[in-house]
Amino acid sequence: MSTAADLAPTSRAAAWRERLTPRRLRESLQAILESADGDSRRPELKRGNESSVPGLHVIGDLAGAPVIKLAMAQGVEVIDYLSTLPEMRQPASASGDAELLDVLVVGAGASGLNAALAAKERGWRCVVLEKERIANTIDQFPEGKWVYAEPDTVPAKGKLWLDGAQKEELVQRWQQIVRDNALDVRTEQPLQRLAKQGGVFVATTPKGTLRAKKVVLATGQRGNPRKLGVAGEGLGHVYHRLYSPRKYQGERLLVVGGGNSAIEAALTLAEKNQVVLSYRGGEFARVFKDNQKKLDAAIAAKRIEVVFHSQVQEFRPGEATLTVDRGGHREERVVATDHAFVLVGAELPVAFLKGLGIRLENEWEGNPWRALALAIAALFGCLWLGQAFGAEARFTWLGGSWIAQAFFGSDGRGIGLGFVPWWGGLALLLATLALLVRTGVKGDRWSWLSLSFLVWYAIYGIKYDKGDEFWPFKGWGYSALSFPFFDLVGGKWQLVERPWSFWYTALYTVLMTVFGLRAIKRWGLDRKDRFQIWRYTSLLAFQWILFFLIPEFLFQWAVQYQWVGEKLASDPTFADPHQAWRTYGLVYAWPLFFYSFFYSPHQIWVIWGVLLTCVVIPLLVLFQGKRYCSWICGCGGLAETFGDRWRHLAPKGNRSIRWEVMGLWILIAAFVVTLMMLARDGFQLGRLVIDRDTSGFWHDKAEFGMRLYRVVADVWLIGILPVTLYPFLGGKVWCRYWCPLAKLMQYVSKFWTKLGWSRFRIVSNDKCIACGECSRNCQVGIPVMQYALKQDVLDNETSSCIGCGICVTVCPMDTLSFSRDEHGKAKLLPVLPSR
Amino acid sequence: MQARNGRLGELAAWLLLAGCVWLATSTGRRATAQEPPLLAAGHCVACGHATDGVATARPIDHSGRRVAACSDPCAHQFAANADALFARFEARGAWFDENAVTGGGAPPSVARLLSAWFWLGAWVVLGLIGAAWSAYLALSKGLAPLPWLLRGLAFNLLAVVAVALKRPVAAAPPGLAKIAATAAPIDCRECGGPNHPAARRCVGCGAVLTAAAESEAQRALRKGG
Repeated sequence: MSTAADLAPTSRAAAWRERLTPRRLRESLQAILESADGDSRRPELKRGNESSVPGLHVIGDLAGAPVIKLAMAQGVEVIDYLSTLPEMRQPASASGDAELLDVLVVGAGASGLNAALAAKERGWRCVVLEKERIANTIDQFPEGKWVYAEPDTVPAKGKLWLDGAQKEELVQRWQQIVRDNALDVRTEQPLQRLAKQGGVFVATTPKGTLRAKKVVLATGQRGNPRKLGVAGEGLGHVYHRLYSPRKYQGERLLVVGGGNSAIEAALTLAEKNQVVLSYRGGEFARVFKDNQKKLDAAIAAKRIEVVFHSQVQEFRPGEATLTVDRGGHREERVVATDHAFVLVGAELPVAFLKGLGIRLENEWEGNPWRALALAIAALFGCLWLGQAFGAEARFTWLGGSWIAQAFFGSDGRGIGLGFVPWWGGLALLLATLALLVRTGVKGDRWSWLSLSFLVWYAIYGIKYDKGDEFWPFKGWGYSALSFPFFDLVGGKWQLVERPWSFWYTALYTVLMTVFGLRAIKRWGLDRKDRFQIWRYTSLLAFQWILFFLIPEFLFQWAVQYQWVGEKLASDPTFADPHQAWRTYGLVYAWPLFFYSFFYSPHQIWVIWGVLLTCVVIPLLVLFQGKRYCSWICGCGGLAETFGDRWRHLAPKGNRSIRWEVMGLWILIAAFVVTLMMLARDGFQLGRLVIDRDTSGFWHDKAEFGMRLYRVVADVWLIGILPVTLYPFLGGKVWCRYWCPLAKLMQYVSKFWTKLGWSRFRIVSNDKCIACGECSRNCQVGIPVMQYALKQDVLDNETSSCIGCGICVTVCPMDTLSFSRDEHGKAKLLPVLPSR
Repeated sequence: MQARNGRLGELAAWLLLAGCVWLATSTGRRATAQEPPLLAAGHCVACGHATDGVATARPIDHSGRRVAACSDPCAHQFAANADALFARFEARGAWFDENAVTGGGAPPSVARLLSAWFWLGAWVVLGLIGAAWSAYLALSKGLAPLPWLLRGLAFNLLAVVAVALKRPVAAAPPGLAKIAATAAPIDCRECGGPNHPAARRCVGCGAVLTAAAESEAQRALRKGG
């Protein structure tokens, strides 16, 4: 008879087997890769807001326009863009096809109407399809709601009227504009189907079909309220918006949700009704400070009852059943309900968009196993290709420790594979790369991941060491990539072989410079933020000066021309030909760069290394927080420039913040390796302590630890993995999760903040409109909007902010700021004089 | 505070660059010590063996530096191939931890970048700082920043001077702050609630407000009228 103890290992093994099934592995990996998604998911857009369906453009709320004025601007800009296309130069009216439209606009909101007006102005044939009525989303705001016309200093584009006004006035004016301009707006005609026939879109509505050269999708997402998906949600007394709170008096009402809409509705309704507010979370994390205050007062006055950790199970006439989680124990509660308001936000109309064939951002479709197989095949192609460079084609994983082979490329005898010629390897490599590109273009994101991995694995694996490259580049990769370069030798221009490390650094610097200038335009010039201009310039200047001019020229000249003094210039410990790399230690502090202390350094490097880590960095952190990461560091520099376009894909949410603990593990590992190396270098320690020469013991252990750390941290975690993941998880994977210096600065900054000495913080005023742009663009995944809504101070005690200031830059309402007034409170921006 | 940080940042960047340029331009200022400094002290320049305590060891001066040869044959060997042997002891750039192999049968030499690359790098850095400074000044004066960024990249300090001489067309707060895209809300005197600065009636309680700024529509009417 089996006991529980007998069964336990079996069930544990079964659980592990279940976890390691291909399906579960894919799900786990996909969960990490999709961790950027939240409420900010959008269609994948190219230039001119063109979606993955050629000719179908997406604008407005769906395309991320955070406020009405910017949505209106997108409407005009998309028509401007379309007018530059060759196929739009001749209007449809000149084609002889009486029914062909130039543009079909779907959605009669701010962006859609403005696009239609702009199209009409160009003399194009244009029809607007609207599933309900003109300005439907705004029209369904609560009565009398004020509609803001922010940002004030940005002029409104197009013919649509916009000013700070009550929603009724705004909608009335827009209807008048539609009439005055004789726009063909077909209300209550939803787009049911969209197909492309002979290069022309055919749109199907309940009342017929329309043909158009281009389609502009401006449906928005706020008109698509999120639903709970529970029984009874379709009953007549369950609503997904609150239109007229004055209609309800003396009734028992249930409000479901934890955002500002739900709380404002509860507060308004509680004036004349009995309200229960049900929320699945344990606290209201995303509400305005003012709403929180009013809610606290209403709860204290027993006008509202809040039921946290509760979820609606079912709606029935006159009542609703809630499941309440009380610390792991679940219980049911029936709430008397005359009317229920489910206000849990809006969601992207995924089914509608997918029905149109539009691809969404960060959509992990495709086949990961095919991508993996192709990547392995490509690496085998490289193995055979290596024969052209004198390498021996050999599969060595079976010849020794596979970890050693994978990580160190160490020798081990394996199976000879020389029966395939080198050109066979080249053919295999090219074929697999072509297949990856082909499947990637068709929408397989796993193929792009695989391709990115291959590129960066080759770059960093080959750079690891000449003669000790990663498999399958061992023994030939470094030489193969050491391209010649024209230089002046002996008074003549000659082709001089430059090592791969040269080309790598040149590539790094060029990538940073090109994409850095692009980032300066994107964030500094286009958004009029002078902070960003200097931040990016600082990153580029540090890269050029400290990683090019000094280590390549100035150090050599300092020795050659004795700028460092005759004594130092003649000291081989300092002036050895191979010492220039130590100048990286001028700016890279321990533990990011701990080689300043090893391999017989001159004492000047040791003193500077200690000073940098123990004095300079803590002082910098005191005044500037972790701005070292966003103003100085070369690793952060590549992420901020080359990785900038993918910054919105940084992992978000509490789970992703918990992963940051990995930085602590790396910091501890760096500390241990440093101690071991110091013990090795000072092997006399063994003699002194235990009266025995332990240099051999320490030497082996320290060398192993250093080698392991170098491969794991300095190659895989700083190079191959994070750069591979730039297009999928944003640029800050290394900096946020694994960089030991960033973690050290985080602790120092937290310490200064707790003492109340830190000068670094981001503050908010009361203008947040919860558009989420700040959180979306945060490269280190901080939920900035939650801070802004509550007007909480964002510092390094509660977040890993690196002070890049993109959240401040991107905010359309100027809510966030580094500024403080004399009382330490948020300083509101001044009212600008009218122009 | 941002303004001060900005000025400090600019100052630091310029000092760093000025230091680099000063050092680079002083390459002609070789040390004029009576005794040239000993290069690779304690080792023979030809065979690499230790010279300390070797009776036949003798110093050889070359290119303003002093090397040691452990014997006459080594001294002759050095004399025959002085540049190549001497070059082995010269400091080299961090990107080259090995000797370069030159094409066309030329002897191995130290893998060092031509100093013209230094000037290219210095010009890029100068261009970047000039570009940033020009764009910064252009934004502060209400001018279009992109043309000034490009002019700064190409002409660096000349562009900075040119934009500094331009008359401002709009006011902007000093320092590194973002130029505001919105105006601050005004508080209602009755209920204290925030309102759009162009609002004439409180969104919370309906009280009459005095607009603190013109709306776009008013501006448009004024311009049109």
